[in-house]
Amino acid sequence: MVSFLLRGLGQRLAAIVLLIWSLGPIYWALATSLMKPRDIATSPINLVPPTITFEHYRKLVGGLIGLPDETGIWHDFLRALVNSLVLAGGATILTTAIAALAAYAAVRMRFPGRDLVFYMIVATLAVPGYTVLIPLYRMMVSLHLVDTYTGIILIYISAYLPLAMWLMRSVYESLPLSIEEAAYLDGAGRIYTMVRIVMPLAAPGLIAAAILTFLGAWGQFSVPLVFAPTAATKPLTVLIPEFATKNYVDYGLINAAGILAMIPPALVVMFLNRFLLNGLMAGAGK
Amino acid sequence: MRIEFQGVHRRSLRRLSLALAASLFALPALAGDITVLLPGDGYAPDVLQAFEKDTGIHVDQQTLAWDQLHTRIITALVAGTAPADVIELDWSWVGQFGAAGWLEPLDGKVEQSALDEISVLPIFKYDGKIVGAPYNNDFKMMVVNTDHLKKAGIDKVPRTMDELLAAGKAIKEKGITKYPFGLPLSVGEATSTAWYLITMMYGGTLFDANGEPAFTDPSSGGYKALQFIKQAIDDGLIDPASTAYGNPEVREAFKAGDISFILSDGPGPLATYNDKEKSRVAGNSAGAVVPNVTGKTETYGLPEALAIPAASTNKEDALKFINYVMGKDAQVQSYLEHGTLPTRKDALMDLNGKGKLESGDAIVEQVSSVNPLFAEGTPPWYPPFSNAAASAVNAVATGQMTVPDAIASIAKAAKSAMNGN
Repeated sequence: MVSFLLRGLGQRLAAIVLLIWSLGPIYWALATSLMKPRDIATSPINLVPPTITFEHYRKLVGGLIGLPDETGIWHDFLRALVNSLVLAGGATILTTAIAALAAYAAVRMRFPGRDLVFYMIVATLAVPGYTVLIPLYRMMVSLHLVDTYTGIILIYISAYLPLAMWLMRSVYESLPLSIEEAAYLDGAGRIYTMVRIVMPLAAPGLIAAAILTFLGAWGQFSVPLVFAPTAATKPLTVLIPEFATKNYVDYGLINAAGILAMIPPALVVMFLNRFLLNGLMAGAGK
Repeated sequence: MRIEFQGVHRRSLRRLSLALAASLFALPALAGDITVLLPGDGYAPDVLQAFEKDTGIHVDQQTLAWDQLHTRIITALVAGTAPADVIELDWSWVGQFGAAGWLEPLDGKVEQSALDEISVLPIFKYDGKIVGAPYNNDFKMMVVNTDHLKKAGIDKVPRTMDELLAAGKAIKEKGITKYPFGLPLSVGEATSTAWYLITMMYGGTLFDANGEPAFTDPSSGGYKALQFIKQAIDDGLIDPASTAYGNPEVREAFKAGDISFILSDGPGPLATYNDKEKSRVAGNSAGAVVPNVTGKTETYGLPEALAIPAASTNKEDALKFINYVMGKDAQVQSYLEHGTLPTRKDALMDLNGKGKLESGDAIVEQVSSVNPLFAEGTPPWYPPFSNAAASAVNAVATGQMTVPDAIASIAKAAKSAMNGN
């Protein structure tokens, strides 16, 4: 009885520690984003805002709801938010679509060098991004793709496609071939079978690949730092560090921007988490 | 359940496909006549508009965080392209960029009347040629909390090292603050530059006329500087937590009223320290000249310049821009609107005369004693040397290394860096 109670207490304590560990930094960012700059510069630090202010959020999105703001930060912030959404969203759709087709070909179609091609693509996961940055930059300049959505999305696709293909291959391998064979016997073609029968069954895997790509692309920093030099394509990850200048770090603004930047990926994970687990587990019990 | 999901998926797919198609065909930003790449806020819109009105040249200003600029610029320059027609050039990049031949020499191109007014110009010479036009003045100076001094019964800001130590001890003994001296001691550029400054406070230099390390002798300034840091930590004058501090953390501690002196700061943050919205020591913060063993102040500059990449395709208009913003009026306007400290002496005097320069008298006095850290310009081997110095200072501060061992390791790293190893 005592050991049962102790075990329960231990589990609760562990859960509390885990919660503080995970949510503590988010709480601190939120608290800092609601503090006046003067209240951030205190010793000892304020864990709870002595006075709550929304001035940082007003700077970031106030212009959108007609609040006057002479800094003009809201314009840059919203532009960067749109850029982040377009870049991460574009990369996610294309990567998932290509991975769905390429992995299917790698599993179900017979052609010379099939495995070699697949493993060569997956092997690019081991290539550190920095080693190809300069040749890639030259290539993008010559193609006039620097500072364009197209250029950056293409780079993201090359970065996240191998992982998505790897994942999708496991998903397809876990699907029974007999279902597809039955469709062929009923007169269905390969494209029809793939789109109407295989894809719905592979949906959890596709969503898992999409989530991983979206989260990866959303948090990308080094690629847009080099390839998105202007407000036309600059995402949040590159804009937010600009709130720290050489002489002054605007912690309130940085944290407020960070809190807002967390919302899209958090929503994606919250609503699609169950598919992520199913997708990642596909093939595990094969 | 599946049917519902499929419906949503299809609708979402359609919408997202449209968005993607739109994004793929999106055009790049309209190119201006010249592009300018700067840290932080860059130039104020008023300055740019005045230039555009004057010349008809449109400026496409791009900005990046200070810490990210180097990566962005280097990647483009190594690839043989220009990241912009006018780029930021920090004092510490001069040797690296100059040796690579990435920059357009500006001799005879920037107006001499402007250059004559700029004392930090030699910092931007490489191989005898000017490679950057200094636009943002920065140099090491001390910052003090005048209220702490008053409470400790100190009626004048310390000018010598003895006075500085006595003031620090008096403030600590009276319990005004636990750690009176603020100094960044993490492994970073702020730490190595602080050590260089304290070396100067002890009347020393980093390298002698032959380029040999001048800090290895126990009587040298560099050696004494490291001993000073060690002793100040042992005596409780510097917070041991400073071994994790860079400049931002030290500045936050000053704004919170936790420290009385920032030994190694610059004129840039002074306005923030005296801003009631951002600082708890507003009204009690002042810039002060750097103390010295002799009482005669000495410091070095860390200014920023504008440069034109050799790969720029519009050097002529880029030069017009540089000449415009190097003018006295543009420098005064940039300070008033963005706090960019002028590099021109006449602009500084003008602002101080009108009472618009924060801690103006100290700044004007300090400016006349600003020297380049390296007489022949910052060498290409500076970055590895700086890293080694910061690591060694940090190791002394954390007690992992003795002063003699740290000095030996910096000297060895300097030699190694000079030899390209």
